[in-house]
Amino acid sequence: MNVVDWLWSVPGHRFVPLFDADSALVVRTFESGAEKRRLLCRAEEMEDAVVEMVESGLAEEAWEGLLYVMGWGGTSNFQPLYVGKAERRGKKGELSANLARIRTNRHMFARWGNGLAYHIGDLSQALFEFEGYQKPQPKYRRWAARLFESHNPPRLKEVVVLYLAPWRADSIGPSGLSVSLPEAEKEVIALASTHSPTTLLNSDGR
Amino acid sequence: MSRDGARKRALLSAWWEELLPLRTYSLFSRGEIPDPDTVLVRLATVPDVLSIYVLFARDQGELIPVYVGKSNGPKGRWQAHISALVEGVGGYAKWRAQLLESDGRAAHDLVLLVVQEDAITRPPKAGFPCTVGAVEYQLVGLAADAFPGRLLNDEGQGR
Repeated sequence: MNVVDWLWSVPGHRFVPLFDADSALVVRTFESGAEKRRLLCRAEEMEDAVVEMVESGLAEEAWEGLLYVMGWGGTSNFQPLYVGKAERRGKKGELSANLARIRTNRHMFARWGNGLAYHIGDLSQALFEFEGYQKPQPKYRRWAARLFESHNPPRLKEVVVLYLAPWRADSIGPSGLSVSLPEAEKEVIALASTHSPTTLLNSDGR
Repeated sequence: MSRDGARKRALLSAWWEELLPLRTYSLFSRGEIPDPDTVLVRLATVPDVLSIYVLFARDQGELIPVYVGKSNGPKGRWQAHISALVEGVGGYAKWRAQLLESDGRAAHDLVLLVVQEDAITRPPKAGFPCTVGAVEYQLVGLAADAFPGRLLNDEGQGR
């Protein structure tokens, strides 16, 4: 099973640039909060795609969340770098804080938020070394090393893209089986680790 | 059953049917009080190498998978699991509720399948990786839907 072929086959998927970067691949940054943390900017197209997918998803009873794959390349040569998910339901079965008030929720933003313990916040901290309740995590130091040629300015090695797909109760995973979003995520990670063994940032099947 | 439960049950059976006859250990019989030291005796011949394991409860003659994991030292790992099961606190409260009667006796025969890394010849899902870690995740995912409500694993299951 070619996992990339499967990604393009998922109904309703979107494929957008992740960062707001200039023509020299330098990602724009902004200062946030009283601590004036320097944070990477997400592409407007990415933010619009996430908002649209989450808002339309929440209007459907069968929608369970979204699967995402950060990567390099285009539709014909996509190279997965990181696979993740944002589930509709939180640990206690309520609407997940990752998805609530998505239009204004830039702190969490379907896992791609500005807060620490969210991808943009943690990656920004690994690049710019600002203080927080936790130090820059080794995982995001690996992300920074994989994605960026330099930290200051934050110049990318290549354009980074984000694949997004809605997941529903009747969605079919790469195995050909009807699977939950957590199981679909694990299937994609397993296959992507064979497809891109030296570049995938997920470790230990997570 | 949910989410292709029947197909998933068939995939699981196909994966472990050849392994069960030679690699299964009786941990405790129904009505027996589990004891961690007894585990070491009953698993004495299990090698201390990277292995995947599946704990089954025999319920009305059928083997129901209740926990999937992996370890470099399965004997010690299961001594620890059983010790924690008997105490039944934290995450093991759920184990105790599901596997033991109120008087602490095993509610079912508990049977352990242990498969060493070099004995895994194919993955449960065709076309997927065959490493111990990958097989562990596949088995958890399949078992959660093939036997809903029975699997004690937390990871990899939908909410």
